[in-house]
Amino acid sequence: MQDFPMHDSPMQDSRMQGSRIALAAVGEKRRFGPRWSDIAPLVAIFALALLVPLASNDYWVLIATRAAIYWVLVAGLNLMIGFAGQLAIGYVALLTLGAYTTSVLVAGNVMPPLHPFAALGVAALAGSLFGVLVGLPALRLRTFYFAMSTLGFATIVTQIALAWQSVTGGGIGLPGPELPAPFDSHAGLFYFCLGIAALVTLLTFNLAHSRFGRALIALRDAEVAAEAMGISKPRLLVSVFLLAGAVAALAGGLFASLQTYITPDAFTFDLSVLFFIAVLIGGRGSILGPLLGTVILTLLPEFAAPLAAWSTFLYAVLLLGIVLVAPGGIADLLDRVNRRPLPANRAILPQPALLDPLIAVTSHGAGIALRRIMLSFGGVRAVDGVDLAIPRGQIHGLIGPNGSGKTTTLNLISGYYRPQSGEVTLDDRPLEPGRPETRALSGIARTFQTPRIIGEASVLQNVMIGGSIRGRASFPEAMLSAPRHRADETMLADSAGLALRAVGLGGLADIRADRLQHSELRFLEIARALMTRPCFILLDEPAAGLAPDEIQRLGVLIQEIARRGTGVLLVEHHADLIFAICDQVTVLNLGRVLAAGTPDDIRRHQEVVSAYLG
Amino acid sequence: MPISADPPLLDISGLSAGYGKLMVLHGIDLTVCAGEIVALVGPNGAGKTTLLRTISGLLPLSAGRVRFAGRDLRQAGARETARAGIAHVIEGHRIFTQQSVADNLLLAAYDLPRGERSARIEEALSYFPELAVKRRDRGASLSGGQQQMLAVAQGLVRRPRLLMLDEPSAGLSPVLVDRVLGVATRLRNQGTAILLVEQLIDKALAVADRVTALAQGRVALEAAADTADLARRLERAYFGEREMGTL
Repeated sequence: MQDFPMHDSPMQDSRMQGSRIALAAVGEKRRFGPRWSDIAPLVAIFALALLVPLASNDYWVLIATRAAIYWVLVAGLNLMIGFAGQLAIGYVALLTLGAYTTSVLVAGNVMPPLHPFAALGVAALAGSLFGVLVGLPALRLRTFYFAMSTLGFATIVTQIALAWQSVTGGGIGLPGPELPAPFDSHAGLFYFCLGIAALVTLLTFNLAHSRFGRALIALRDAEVAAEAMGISKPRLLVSVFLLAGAVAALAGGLFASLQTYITPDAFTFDLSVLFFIAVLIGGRGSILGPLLGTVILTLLPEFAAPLAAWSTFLYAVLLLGIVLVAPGGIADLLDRVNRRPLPANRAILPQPALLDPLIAVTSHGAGIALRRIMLSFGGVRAVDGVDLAIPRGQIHGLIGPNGSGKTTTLNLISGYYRPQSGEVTLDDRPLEPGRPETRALSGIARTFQTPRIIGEASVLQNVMIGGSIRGRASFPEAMLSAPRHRADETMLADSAGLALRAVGLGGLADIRADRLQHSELRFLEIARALMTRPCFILLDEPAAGLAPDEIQRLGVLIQEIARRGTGVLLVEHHADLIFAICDQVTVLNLGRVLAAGTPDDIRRHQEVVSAYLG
Repeated sequence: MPISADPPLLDISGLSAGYGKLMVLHGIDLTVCAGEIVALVGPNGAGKTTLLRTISGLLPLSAGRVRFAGRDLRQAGARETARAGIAHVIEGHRIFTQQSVADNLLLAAYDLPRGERSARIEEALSYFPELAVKRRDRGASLSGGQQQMLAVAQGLVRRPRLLMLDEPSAGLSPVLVDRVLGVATRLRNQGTAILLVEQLIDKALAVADRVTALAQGRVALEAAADTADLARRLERAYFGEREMGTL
C-alpha cells in the first residue's frame, strides 16, 4: 500500500521560471533552524496575552488563565498526536491526576503539607510516570485501539478519585492549592500560568525543530523508513510520554489552583474532547495551529454563552468544518510558502564530485554475506537457501521474476524479517535479525520500492532524517536548544544540502516533499540513505518509473557511490542498467539462486534468458 | 495510422487542465480509436499522468472538450467515466492491501451484474496464472510486481472499451512486461482502445499503432509507431521542440 499520494506534479508552467530562481536562492542562503516567520506569530500571541489583565475585567483574565493552562497540556499532547501520530484521547486523566496530586499534597491529607511549588513539582513527576504508563500500549496497539486504552485509563482515574474518600474527598472533593504571593491574585495566577505556557511552548518548539521532532513525524508517516534510519521507536516515544505526562499533570495542578475547589465532576469527558480536537483543528506537525486551536476552543463557549451546554456539539461542528474546508488544519491555512508554483523543467543532474565528503568507508572487512538463508510465509518458501556476498566498493545486482524473493532478501538484510535458518553477517559478525533500527549504525542504508517519505516535511528535512543517528545532543538538550543541539542542526542541514546537490536535487531543498515527482523521490531516498554515511546501500528498484535519461544518470551516480568504497545491492528490472553497471549479478527464481556471476555470464545463461529476460 | 470511417472512440480537443491555478496541460488534442493502441510518451513531468487523470474524471478540465463514444465527458466524474467504459490503471501498484486478490477483483467488478462477476474475474486471472494461485492471499502478501499485475487485472475485469495503463511496466520483470503488453495487443485485436503511458519506449512502440509525445504539457509529436526516423524525432520532442506540420 502506498503511504503517500504521488501526484503528477503541478509545475509545468514555464512562466513561473523567475520565481523558481528566487526560491532556489533563498534555499542557498538560509542556514538552519526555525524561520523568523515561524516564531513571530507565537511571540505576538504571547505579547497580546500579556495585555489581557490591563485591558479587561477579572472574568476574562479567568478565561485567559484557563486557555493558558489548557495549552500547557495541549502543547505536550500535540507532540503525541500531531507529531508522533499517537491518538491519545483520554488525556483528561493526567489533568485529573495532576490536580489531585497537587491538592492532596498541599492540603496534607497523607503527609505533612507541602509548599505549593514543591507539590506542583511532585505532580509533574507523577505525571511523567503515568504518562509513560498510559503511553506504553502505543508500542503495541495501533490507532483507535490505543485511543481506547487511554479512555480506559481516564475512567480508572475518575473512579479512584471518587472512591478514595479519605484522601481525595470522594464526590465532595477538596480545595485546590493556593499559590503564594504574588501569584495569589487573578492577574498573578494568570501571569504565572502564562509564563509556564510560554516555557512549554519554547520547549516543544525547540523539540519540533530538532532531529527528535523530525524523527517523531517520520515514525508517524513512514515508520518503516524511520527504522531503517536507525530511529528507535520505543526510546523516542517514551521520551515524549515523559514530557507530555509531566506538563499535563503540571497543567492539572494549575487547573486545581484556578478552580479553587475540585471534584471529580470538574474533569469531564468534554475536556478530553477539547484537548484532542484542539490538536486536530490546529493541524498536524505544527505548534502555532494547536495553540490557536486551544485558544479558540476555550473562548468559543464564552462568546456563545447560551450555547455553553452545547459545547461538545460546537466542537463537533468546528471539527467538521475544518475537515471540509481545510483538511490540513489551521496550520495549513496559514501555510503560504507551499502554494508557490514550482519550477518547470527541473532536470535531475547529479554532481558525483560532491560525494567525497558524504562517503567515508574506513574498515575493509568481508562485507555483507548471506549463508543458506531460509524464510517461508505460510507454506510458501519465499527465500529458500540463498547465498549472497556484497563486498565493499562493488555493485551487486539482484534480479529475477516478480515474486522470486528479491525484496524479501533485502528485507532480511535490513532486519525486517528473521530468517528461519541461515545467517546474515557483516564483516563475519552476525547482524541481529528482526532489529531494523540497528542497521543504520552498522552502516547499512536502504531505499524502498515505493518511496517512503514524509510528504508534509520539506525535502531538506526529509534528507536530514537520514542523519538522525549522527546527532549528538540528547532529548533535553534539544528541548533547551543547547549549543550541542545547534551544532547538530547546522551539521545535519549542511550535509543534507550537500547530499541533495550530489544527487541533483539541490534546487528543491525547501519544497514540501509531497510536491515532488516520482522520479525525484527516488533520488531523494538515495540522498537520505547517504546521510547515514553507509558502508552499504541497498537499492530496491531505484529505476522504476524513471525516464531513460534519468536511468542513465542514476547509473552513473550508483557507480560513483560504489567507486568511493560503498557496497551496493541493486534490485532492478531494467536489465540494461544491471548489465551496464554491476560487478556481480545474482538471479533469483522461486526463492533460490538460479544463477550467479558476472553480467556477461548471466547474459548468456540459458535458463535466465528463458525465465526472466525473455 | 488506421483510417476508419467511424469517429474515434476517444476524442479530445483543446484540453487544458491542472491543479488549482497551475495549468499543467495546454490545449491537448488526442484521439484513440477502437482497436488501436496509442502510446503516450514524454519526460517525467510532461503531464502524461495528469492527462489520464483528466480523462478519467479524477481532475476537472478547465478548457477543451472530451468526447467518448459520442458522449460529452466534460462534466463527468470518475464514476461516470468508469460506467461509460473507461478503465484507468493508475501508477504505482495501488491495490487494497488488506483484502484478498479475489476481493480486489470483486471490487473492480463492483457494478457488474452479479451473475457475470465470477466469470469476468476468472477471465482477468487467466492472463496472470501466478495471481490465480494466490487468489485467497491478502494484497499485502504479494510482491511489488505481483501487486502491479493485480492492478492491471483490475483494469481488465470490466472489459473496458478504453483501457488506460499508466506505466504498467514499473516493477515488472522483462518477461512480464512482454506479457502485459501482449495482453494489451490481444485486447486491441478484440477491439479495445488502449492508451498506454510507458517509460520503456522501445517496448511501447513495438506494440503501439501510434505515438503521441508530450513535453511541458503540450503535444510535441504525433506519429505512426512505424515511422522511419521516429527515434530521432522523439528525442527532439523530449527536449520540448514542437514539430510543425507533421502527420
